[in-house]
Amino acid sequence: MPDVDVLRELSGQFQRPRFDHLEAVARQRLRRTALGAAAGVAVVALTVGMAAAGLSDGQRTQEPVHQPSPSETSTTGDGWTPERTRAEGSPVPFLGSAPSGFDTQLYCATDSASSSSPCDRYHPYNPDEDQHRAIEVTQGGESALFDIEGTPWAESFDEDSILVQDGTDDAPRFRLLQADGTAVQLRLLSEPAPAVPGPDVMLIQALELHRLASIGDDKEEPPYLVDDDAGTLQLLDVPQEIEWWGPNVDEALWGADGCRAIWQQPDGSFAHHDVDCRDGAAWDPGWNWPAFADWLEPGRMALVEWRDNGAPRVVHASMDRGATWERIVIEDRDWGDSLDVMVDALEEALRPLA
Amino acid sequence: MAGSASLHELYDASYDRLVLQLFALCGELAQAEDAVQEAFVKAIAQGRAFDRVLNPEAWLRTVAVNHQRNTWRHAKVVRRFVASVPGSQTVPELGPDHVAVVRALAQLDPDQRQVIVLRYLADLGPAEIAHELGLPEGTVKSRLARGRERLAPLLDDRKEADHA
Repeated sequence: MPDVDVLRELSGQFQRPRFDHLEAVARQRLRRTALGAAAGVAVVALTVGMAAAGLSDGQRTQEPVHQPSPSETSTTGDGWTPERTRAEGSPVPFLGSAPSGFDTQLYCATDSASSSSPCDRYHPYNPDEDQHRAIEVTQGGESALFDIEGTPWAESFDEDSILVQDGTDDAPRFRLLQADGTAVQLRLLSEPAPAVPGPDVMLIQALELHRLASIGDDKEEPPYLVDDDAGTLQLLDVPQEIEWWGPNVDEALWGADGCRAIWQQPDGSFAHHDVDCRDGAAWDPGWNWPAFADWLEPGRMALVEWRDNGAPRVVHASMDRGATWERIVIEDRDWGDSLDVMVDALEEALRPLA
Repeated sequence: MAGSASLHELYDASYDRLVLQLFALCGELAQAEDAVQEAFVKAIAQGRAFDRVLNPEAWLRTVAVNHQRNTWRHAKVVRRFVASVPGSQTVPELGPDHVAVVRALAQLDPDQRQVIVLRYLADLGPAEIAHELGLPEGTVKSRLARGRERLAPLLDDRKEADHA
């Protein structure tokens, strides 16, 4: 079948990451697993990280740096400041959606002739290497630069600040950054917070995942309670089996594990419902689709069953806190090459339930 | 921790091959690269246990295919919001022929597409495909036959379009 053979022409054109980079990623994962076996991956790893940062309970770091200068901002000990990184580096896109409501830009620079780009998303962060990163946060005519270790994850926290996670698996760092130069470093508490939705509850992606820009087999984004006044961060005390969380954790706690929808009831306990799931179907809540943004509100949940070709097949939705579930079949069609057709199809499926 | 010379050699020898096969299966190069890199990370994490894998390349392919299936949706969504990292990826020159073949493959039933890719890009025989997929050899042969039957007019259409 020579026609298929034509693809072989592409062989040799792929740029693969260095093998030792993959080894480093594997090592870091194993370390996380070992920590998790001891006392819970996130809690231990993050606590170690905060201890390394030298913060005590309740300590809050305020760094009002309205006009950051090399002398005011941190350096890496070899003369690299965020300003120099911005001046000599190149812009790097966020891995994941950039915080909304802010103009944020990442910069990456290196002073070595490395064979691999320091901004390569598969390049595991190594503080011993000559790679330097900085983030610039701009809002309302103000702008501030902050140092970044490794590949950051960032999300809007409130109208004035973004939450940035960076560092390494062993020493992650959480900060609330503002365009006026304020940096509030957060300390992770080992005790989980009560499972209560609220405006300070947000989903935070696992450090490993955003460093790799890869969604693996791990749980994705557990909900955390962020207390900016106390300068603390706590995982919520929620069922561990929830694999995918709904996006509106500020309003309701719900998610899914395979074919099972799981949600919090008014009394605080969690209930579940197994939807009519096709064997082997892939599942997750539809939260990451723009189609669901306007539809979701407390008491509403939606799961999407996908076709083998990645297009949506069925939407399972509840509008009454899980009491009843609708099964909406999406007709097959020409899905094209973009997501627009899928988004339209999902919006169409939800329209009768609006 | 694995990372032995043999796994490194396997990485050098099979990376392109596996990416090509995954690309033919899923139609997205970045997704194919993600899946293959993920498979190697998992192989390294296997440590010495990976030395006992009888067919390492088949193991890697299976892990990569499973990863690709599990992450399809989110990879798509993530990329919708994520611009590519400058300079981090080398994008091969995809010619019209390459695009047309991938599009033709995408129109096959996934089961047929998988056996076609294993047969014509991984160079496996029906018995080897049957072993790798855990299927009866007769099922593999029938899927191959139906896949070829379905693929032929799709590729012919391309040729006719090229000549028009």
